[in-house]
Amino acid sequence: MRGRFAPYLLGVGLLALALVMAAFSGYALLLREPIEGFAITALTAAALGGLLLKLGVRQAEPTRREALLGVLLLWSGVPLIGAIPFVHGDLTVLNAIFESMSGFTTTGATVLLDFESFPKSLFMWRALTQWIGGVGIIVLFIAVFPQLAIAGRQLFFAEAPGPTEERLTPRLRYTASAVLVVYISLTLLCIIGYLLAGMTLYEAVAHAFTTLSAGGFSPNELSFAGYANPATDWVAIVFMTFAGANFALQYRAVTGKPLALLRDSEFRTYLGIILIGTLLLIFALWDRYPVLEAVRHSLFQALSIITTTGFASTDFATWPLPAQAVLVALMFVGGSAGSAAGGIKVARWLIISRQAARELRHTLHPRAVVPLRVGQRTVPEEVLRAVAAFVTLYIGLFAVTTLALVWLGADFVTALTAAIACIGNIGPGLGAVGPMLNFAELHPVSRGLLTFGMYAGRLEIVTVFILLDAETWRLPRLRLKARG
Amino acid sequence: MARRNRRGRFAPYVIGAGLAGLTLLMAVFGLYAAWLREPLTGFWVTGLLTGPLAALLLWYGHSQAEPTRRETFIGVMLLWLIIPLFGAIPFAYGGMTPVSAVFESMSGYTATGATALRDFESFPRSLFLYRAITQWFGGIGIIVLFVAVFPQLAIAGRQMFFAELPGPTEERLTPRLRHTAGAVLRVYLVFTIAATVAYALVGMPLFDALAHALTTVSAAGFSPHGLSLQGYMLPAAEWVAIFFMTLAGVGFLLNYQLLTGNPRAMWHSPELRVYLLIILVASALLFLALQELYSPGEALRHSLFQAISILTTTGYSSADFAAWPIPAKAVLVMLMFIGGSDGSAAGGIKIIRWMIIGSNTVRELRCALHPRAIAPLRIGGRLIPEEALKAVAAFITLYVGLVALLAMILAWFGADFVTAFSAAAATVGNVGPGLGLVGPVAHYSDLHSISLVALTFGMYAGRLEIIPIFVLLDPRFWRLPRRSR
Repeated sequence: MRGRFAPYLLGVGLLALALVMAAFSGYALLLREPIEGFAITALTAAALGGLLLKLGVRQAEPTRREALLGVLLLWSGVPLIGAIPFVHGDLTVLNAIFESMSGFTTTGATVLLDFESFPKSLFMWRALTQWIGGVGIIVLFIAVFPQLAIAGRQLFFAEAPGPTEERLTPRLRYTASAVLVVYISLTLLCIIGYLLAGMTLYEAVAHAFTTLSAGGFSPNELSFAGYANPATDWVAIVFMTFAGANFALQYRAVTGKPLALLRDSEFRTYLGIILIGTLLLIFALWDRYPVLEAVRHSLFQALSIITTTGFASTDFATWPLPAQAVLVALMFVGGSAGSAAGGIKVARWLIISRQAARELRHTLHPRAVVPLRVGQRTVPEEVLRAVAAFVTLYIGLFAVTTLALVWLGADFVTALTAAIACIGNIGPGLGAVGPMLNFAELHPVSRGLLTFGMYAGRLEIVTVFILLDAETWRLPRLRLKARG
Repeated sequence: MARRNRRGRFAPYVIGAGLAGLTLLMAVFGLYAAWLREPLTGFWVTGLLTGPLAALLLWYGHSQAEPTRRETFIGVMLLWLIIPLFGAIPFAYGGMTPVSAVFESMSGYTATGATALRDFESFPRSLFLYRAITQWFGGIGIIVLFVAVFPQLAIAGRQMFFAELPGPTEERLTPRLRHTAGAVLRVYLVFTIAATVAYALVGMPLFDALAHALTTVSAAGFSPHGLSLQGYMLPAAEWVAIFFMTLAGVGFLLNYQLLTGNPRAMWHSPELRVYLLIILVASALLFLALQELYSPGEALRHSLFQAISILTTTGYSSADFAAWPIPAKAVLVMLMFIGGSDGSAAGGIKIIRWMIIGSNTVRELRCALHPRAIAPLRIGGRLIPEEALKAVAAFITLYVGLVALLAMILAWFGADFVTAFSAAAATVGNVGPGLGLVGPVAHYSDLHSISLVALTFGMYAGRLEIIPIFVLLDPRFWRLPRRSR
């Protein structure tokens, strides 16, 4: 029954999608908006899902390869089908897929030109794609990838909530529920926060969905700048901070270990980077805004970029160059591992910088043996190598994407920031893809490449490259071949 | 000789020797300037300062056969700081501001080729030749450093590089230095003479031919002409440059093999093959991107020239590539981050390091599917220890970090995005010209003084492969040891 797990997983995903689409059909009906998009998607998803479930086989313990293929298929299949409502909302097929992928990968880059005539139900669906994508990726990051030792993650969650058994599934269920508890609670609190700050219920829900998932979509064309309301900015600041922090630790913190977050070296580094980024921005924006505004915008934007959310409290593409430079630097950092944030992740940078420091020491004292430590734990060699390989692939993909975009007509700044904003799942870039603009002007092939970039970046690239390995496609000879 | 306590004497010796050489150079150039009837104040002032200082240091210093790691570090780093500092004085007398003069001098001795010179017309010939000589000596110095010193210190993964001179390897540092320096000098002389003759044969005046030969062989890039090679309008000269730049960017050891009648051995080097491949691919991409701008023949020449010039971090320009279409510029920026071959005077991260990183990445991808299969790294059949891999990874991290930091500093002090980024990459990589405001037909002196200082540091750090600089920042470095070794 090899090779059947991936279709099974996708089948389940599609059936869930069908259910959600049915709900949205109802919602659209309520709002007196067109329901064809949702209805068609519901039917397609149900049909395909049912078919795949017939083909696929549920496995209690899939092999590495099967698990990874399942993940790859899930994160491409669901966004693909989930794009159908967007096609009915008047986007071209390519743009619809771009937008849908931008949703499920919690990127937040948009190709929408006409915000006015876009149906409210579709905006809500767009926001929900990010919310779903967020919880999905967190579960993946906390429970699945560490087991599969992807990109060094086996180090990050040795202490994930749940039994420390080896088996994937019981741990997965426990972790998923734990994360959901935190995620849903925070979302509810966020909705209340936005309501208190003055948003309508609709807006509060739509934004809460995309804040906690560090996604960044907004029904407002000008993002948070469109509300011109400091209160909403501050609410966003608070909840973006949580959205970018490790959810496993947050669960721990509320179930009896209140200092879990503060004891974590990654969290402290995360806060430190936010602080430094904010200070640099305040310094750079000194002349542009009155002090309090400067503080608010600096904090907001630093958080928004590092957590890869992508909200904009103001049009930062018009900021003075030093400030823009700080933002670009932050784009390469990423949020905490174990959150829905994208990017390289603070934990990996921590490992890399500690290793660099260790190498420097080693240069002076070649015979000294100093283990690499992050927090309490020693970092094993394999994690170090995996992290190095990951960063290499990440930067490599970024470079190739930038080059391709430039070749297809974009200018330097647009190409560079578009590439990192998509691969890092941030959303807006600078130049022609700034926060008040959109990605629609880019060459279609560029948009296709960026869609792939969002996908690859979200799944930590290594996963995608597995497809290139010939063995993945080879059908097994012996039934009892060793797992993984 | 009885081993008396000679601690701490190696650095003064090395610096003294360097300053002595500089004094000699000043004397020669003083005479040359007098013969040309040009001002020689700069030269003799410098000589007057470096002479006595050199004598003092040589008297105090001791050429230890086997200095400690720490002493070697300090010696190397101070050498590349002090010589350029003193060597800047002639430039200051030639009309440059102190900051620009130091920038120019550092750009010379690190074989970078970024210039802060505004007025090429009124700059004395003697100074142009001196400028070229700084790069020539800088190139020799760096090769000796990379071949004879750093592998022993295992800097940035160099213990694994293929840079040993044939013949029995002298164990002790100083004799090894002398032996290597001799070999490098010989190779350099042969190439320089050949290049001078070649340039002259295709129509360059003798002075320019020599000045270019000196900076081509050292993969450095200074030119007495404000428009670099483009200014001579001699396509043949550009082809000569292409030939010699390619040689300059190849590892010194390979050049040695070539000259000692063993060219087949060159082909065994895996790095050479990748080097040539990169040149091919980059030229092809550039050729495609330049179709609208030039006729096919010209496009071919410019593509090949610029690809090689940037990859080998020489920095000559056959055209104003800052005005090229963006795709072409993007290719050039990427080349800046690759660098030349190991053991050459080229700067940058170096091809062999990218090969090591690439091998590891492929290995890790395989590992992601088969977690128990940990194959050792191999390049060209030779085993790469994990130590080297880690050192290389740390080096690249620091390198990119430094470029990012410098770019931000430049942006903070007023440079636009493209200028800031390309200037940082071009100086840390010892390339020379960047894009935007620091393009090949422009100069760096429009930047803020602080930016110039930062970039001067960047050239210095990049040339010495950054790690030694950071080692100085470690407080443990300064702790005095109890026993002599």
